[in-house]
Amino acid sequence: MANAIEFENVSKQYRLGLVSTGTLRHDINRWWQTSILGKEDPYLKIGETNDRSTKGNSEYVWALKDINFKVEQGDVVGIIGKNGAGKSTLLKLLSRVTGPTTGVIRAHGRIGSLLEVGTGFHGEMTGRENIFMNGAILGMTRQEIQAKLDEIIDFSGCERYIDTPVKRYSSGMTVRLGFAVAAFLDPEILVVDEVLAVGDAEFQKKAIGKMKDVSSGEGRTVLFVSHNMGSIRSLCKRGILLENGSIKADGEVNSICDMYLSDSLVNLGAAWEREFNPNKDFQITKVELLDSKGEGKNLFSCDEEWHVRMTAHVKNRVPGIYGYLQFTKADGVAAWVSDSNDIVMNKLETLPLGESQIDILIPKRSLAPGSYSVYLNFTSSQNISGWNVDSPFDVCVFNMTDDRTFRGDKRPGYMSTLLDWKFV
Amino acid sequence: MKSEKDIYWTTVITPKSYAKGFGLRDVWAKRYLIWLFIKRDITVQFKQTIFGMGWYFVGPLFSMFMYIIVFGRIAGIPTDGVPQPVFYLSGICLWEYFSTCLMSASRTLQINAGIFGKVYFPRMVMPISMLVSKLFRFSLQLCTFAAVYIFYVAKGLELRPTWYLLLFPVLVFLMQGLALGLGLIISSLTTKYRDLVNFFGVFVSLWMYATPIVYPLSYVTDPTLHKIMLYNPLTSIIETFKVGAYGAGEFSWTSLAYSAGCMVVLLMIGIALFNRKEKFFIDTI
Repeated sequence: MANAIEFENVSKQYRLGLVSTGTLRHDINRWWQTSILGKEDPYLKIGETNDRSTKGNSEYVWALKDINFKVEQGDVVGIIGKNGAGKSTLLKLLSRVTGPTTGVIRAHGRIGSLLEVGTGFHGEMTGRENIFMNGAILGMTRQEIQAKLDEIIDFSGCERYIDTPVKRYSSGMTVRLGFAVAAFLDPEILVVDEVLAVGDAEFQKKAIGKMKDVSSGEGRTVLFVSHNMGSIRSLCKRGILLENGSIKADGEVNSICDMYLSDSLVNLGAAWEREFNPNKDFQITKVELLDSKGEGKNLFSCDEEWHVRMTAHVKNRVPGIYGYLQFTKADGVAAWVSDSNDIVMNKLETLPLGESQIDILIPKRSLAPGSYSVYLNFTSSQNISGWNVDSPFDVCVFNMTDDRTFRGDKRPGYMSTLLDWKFV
Repeated sequence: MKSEKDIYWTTVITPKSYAKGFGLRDVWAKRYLIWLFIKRDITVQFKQTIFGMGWYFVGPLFSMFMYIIVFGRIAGIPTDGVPQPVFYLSGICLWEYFSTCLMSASRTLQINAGIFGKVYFPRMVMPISMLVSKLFRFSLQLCTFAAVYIFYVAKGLELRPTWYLLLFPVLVFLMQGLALGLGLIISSLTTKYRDLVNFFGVFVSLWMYATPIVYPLSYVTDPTLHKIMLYNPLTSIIETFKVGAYGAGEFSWTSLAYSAGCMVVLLMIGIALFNRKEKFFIDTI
């Protein structure tokens, strides 16, 4: 089949830091080299790959570097990668919000891009007026909007409020209305960025269903970015894995998703340690998964209790600090979330200065069999230097196994709690 | 010659500018969007105000009283034999329209960075819709002018419009073109370095005093100064309006043609600069 999209040696460079006199010096130098001396742009040679966690020497980074791929007409392609891998930049280039630094992108057919739900919405205008506004911004003609108006209103589920200013809507309703307009956008190429992550579960299901209809029928080409492997797997046939601005893998969606998930957790085990940083007010230096005897391991039976044990160092009290613990199942879904202030408010604030241990007991018969990763983050809204106080993020991986019930490890879902079937 | 392959691709994105020529065809294709922005701008302005449009009628009257006191009474500047309220109001209405158009055009990229960062449509759609939506306010202010004008005619004063008033649409068009051209230049120059915003702010407020708003052109008797005044493309527009409305002022086809020439040059520079910036400004704003 014919190609709908082609990326040829596409790169995008960004300059980090603030606009200052230094920027002006670079700009003048660039202008001098390119316009007067007729040379190449000197700053195109010095960019570094975009690795967020290591501090680079250059002010210039390549958000995307030498991207080459082709998409056939009617293909549904999922683009995955960690934050900062270049996913959004790629979609921005294709939707022409910003231009590439080098290279060519070719597309056949009208491109509809959905980088945000409800672009151009104005609170003072009614839902109906906003449908027209948003539709026209996304590239629909007046006739198209008119023809689909009833369907859009129906899909949004906001009939009752359709002639009320949008500022009176709940945030959920605004999102529904915005998505409804986008869902009836009818381009040959659809570019979608993580918009399904908004709205309640019921609406998400509806939205994914609609996306499926859109992509399966009429041979439409879809490029879809998401962190949710579940929706990527169910919507896409092909996956492209981006890492630090380059394509790491490209192929059948399930293998790409597996690769991404195992990749990000490949170095993790039952224990995690890192060097003590004398400058931090609060930090976790060690996380261990322990069974009831205090032995470290990462295969647990659903019928045993076990512990997440952390070593914390407090140099100075951080007001408002709390911890966030998440068990993420292999499909990328957050299976279980716990906050340190769930039971007692400001629990972590009262931690004594110096080193101490934090222990979290995981009760038996809670998580379903399967593999999980442990995600940790410590934040405070009152922290001066930023929201994140200490961010270990993914620290450990472990497996749960069910060796008692008949269904055993085949039990789907996220819980293994056994229920009693009583006669009453 | 275009090969078959080039024809197949409907969109080709390269580091170069999107716009072919001046990109005006793309803007025309988006006229429905322009219309919606105009409608949005007008409706939103009166939401949740008690007086609503009343403010637009009253606004110029405040400036008028101020001018009567400062320039009429204190400085004692003559007004071409026309009653002071009529004279000042005619200048205020036109200048206000021009300066608000200029101001909104010059902040196009900055103000709409949010929406421009999420979706692409020809960026020129925004300033153009502003020019039209500001016409609404302008026409209401002209009503105030007309009311004051009729009041003096009813009192028996000899105020008579001349045939030059038929040039009014041309004058509006010239003001729009000048404001758009200059606004686009300013907007393109200030995406990265905001310093220029401050400079242009000062420049626009001083420009009013270089335009015969608070004094008639005839009052400028120094021949060199008079000549310099005519280099200001707005001078002839304001004077033509005054000649048309009440027959006082200087009119010449040459100076009007000069203003039109300025407009064309500014528009060409403005659009060219804007098209060059349009693609990458979102990275630096």
